[in-house]
Amino acid sequence: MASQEQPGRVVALTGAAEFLGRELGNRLLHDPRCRRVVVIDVREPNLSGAGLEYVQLDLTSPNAGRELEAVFARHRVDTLVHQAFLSHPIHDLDYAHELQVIGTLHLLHAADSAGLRKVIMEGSTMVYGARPDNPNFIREDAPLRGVSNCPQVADLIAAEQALWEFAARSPDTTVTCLRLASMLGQHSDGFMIQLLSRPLVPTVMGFDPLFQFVHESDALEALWLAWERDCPGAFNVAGDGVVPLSVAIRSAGRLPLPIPHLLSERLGGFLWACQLSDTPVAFFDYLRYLWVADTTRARRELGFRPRFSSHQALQNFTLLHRMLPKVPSAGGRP
Amino acid sequence: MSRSVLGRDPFTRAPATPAAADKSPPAKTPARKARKRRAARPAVAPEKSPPAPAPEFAAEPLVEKELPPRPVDRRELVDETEELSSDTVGMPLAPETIIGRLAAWSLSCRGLEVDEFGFDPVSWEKAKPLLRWLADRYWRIQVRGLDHLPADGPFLVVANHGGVLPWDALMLKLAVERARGEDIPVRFLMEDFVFHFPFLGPLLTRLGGARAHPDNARRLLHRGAPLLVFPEGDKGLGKLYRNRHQLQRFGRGGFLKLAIREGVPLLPAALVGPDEIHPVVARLRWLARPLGLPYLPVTFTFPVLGPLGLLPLPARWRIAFGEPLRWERQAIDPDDSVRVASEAERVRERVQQMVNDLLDERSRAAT
Repeated sequence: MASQEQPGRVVALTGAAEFLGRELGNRLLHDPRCRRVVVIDVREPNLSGAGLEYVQLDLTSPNAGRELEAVFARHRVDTLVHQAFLSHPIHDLDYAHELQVIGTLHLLHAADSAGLRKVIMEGSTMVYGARPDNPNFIREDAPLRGVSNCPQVADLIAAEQALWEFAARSPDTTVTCLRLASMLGQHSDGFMIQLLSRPLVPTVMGFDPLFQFVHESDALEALWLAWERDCPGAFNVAGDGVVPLSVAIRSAGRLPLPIPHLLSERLGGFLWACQLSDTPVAFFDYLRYLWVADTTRARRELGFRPRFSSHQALQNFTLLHRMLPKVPSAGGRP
Repeated sequence: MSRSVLGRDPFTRAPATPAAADKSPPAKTPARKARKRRAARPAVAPEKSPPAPAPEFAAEPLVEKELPPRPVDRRELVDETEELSSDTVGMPLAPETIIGRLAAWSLSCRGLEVDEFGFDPVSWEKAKPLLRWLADRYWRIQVRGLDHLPADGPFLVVANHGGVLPWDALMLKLAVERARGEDIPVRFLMEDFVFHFPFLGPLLTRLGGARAHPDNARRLLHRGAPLLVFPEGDKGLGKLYRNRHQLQRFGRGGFLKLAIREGVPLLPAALVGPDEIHPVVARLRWLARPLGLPYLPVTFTFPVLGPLGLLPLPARWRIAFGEPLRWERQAIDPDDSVRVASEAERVRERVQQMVNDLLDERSRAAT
């Protein structure tokens, strides 16, 4: 069906059920440079277009690697955009690990044998970790330390390390990782969105770290730039400026529920186990210490110009979010 | 901006009429009434705007539908919060209404926009009357050598530290800003002990502090901000009363590397007085560890009188700025740590000398 003479790229897309993947797929389908979009997902994507191919495939199944190899070869995929990551921490740690780490490995192994031109992965600035000795702005070359006792973030770090090992193995492939700050927007889901949608937000008493947000349309723009330009390496993607957590909570019309840090392990763990809070115990470090990323590199090399500053993204989100009827979340599983 | 958003958005509930706003819980305080009046006045606007067509989310790129970015001013947001919370819930005493009102109220005493290091000009303006009173009436600060302050460009002030709580940083900031004007706020660096101290760290961050880290210092200097550093760190902050006016070791000379690399002048500054506002007689380590502190200072008043003991004593302060020091990049290599350490020691001696001069002056004035 796909003849070799046809011009244009073939993009394999994972995570197309979420906002970023869906909108990227939409744009790619309308872009003449892109001949075909192969969506790899367990659910049928909410997309339509002439060049759309949907492959139903579960990245957590043991034979996913072989199937992916076949898919990549059949469609002559030359670009992979990997976004099949959980938008917020879930209770099922085994599933999270299988999807995010093993799923990434399956994809990268298939990419290895297919000899792709480009691999773009969505990451998170959470991988730097909220540590007391962080500088106010963390650059891309900082070590990925995560936070201690946090399997959710350890998975993200493992996925990224697999990506960089793949990059070292295949010098002909342009490997880009976009580390997104907490994303806010009407159509997205994420840790901060969940956090700000409860009337009482657990915080660490006496601590008020600065937060950085990226609006979903800016994140999409960064992804598009990464597709258009060949910029290997990691890039922090965030809006300009910072917002103190206390201001973020209050301007969302919520109130903080301060927990003394000596109790946060017990009480926070209890609330998480009872599903009364969206914050796993280890995530309390993210509410206590700084983990703001420096976006200079994305501006300089990727040409990333966010339309919304962190503050504007928050304003936009809170104004729209509180007027919309509460829609039950689609769940963490893409 | 928010009005038009309210009108255009297809999910808007019935707009709040002034009558609906009046049904919200009886407000007694004048401030609350004033806010309500502001909220009620423009609430009729959404009725006029035409209903928007139902959106189709996936069909077109979403960028066009987004709001135009525009900073929202604080007043507007407070109104918004009140209006929305009474609007969406409809019940005046619903928990969400109360939470929304409390949230709006607790925001009204601070700025929403902070700079990239968390400095909040509104908080600083609010704190200034108290700080001015402390400087002029309580500690009766006398300042010398203000003519040494460079008229423009970033510079580094290296001062001695003391007084358990970093009042000296705030006073020095006030003194420099009074002399130079406030168009570029003066910033100061805090040791980890203070920065990660519950409540204190976030408060000082809002008042212009940043965590002492070479990256942060470089960024602040590049913004053109005068920067106050206290190389003694927490050793100086919590020094015992019997060691008062004795400068402790000057870290590892990071401040000097910074001044050499960035080519900024370095002003030595001496403070006499902060050491006396909280006379530390002992430092408890065994009690401090479970609290996550390096030590727990014991003063004549502190644990005995409880939180009241944290009030500083009214010692008389003197501040002196010395002549700016400069290093040529060719003359000294910032990576030569032996050289840097010996130069840092010279700066420390200079500050110590200035402290001693101030002490002499004070004892002469007393006799």
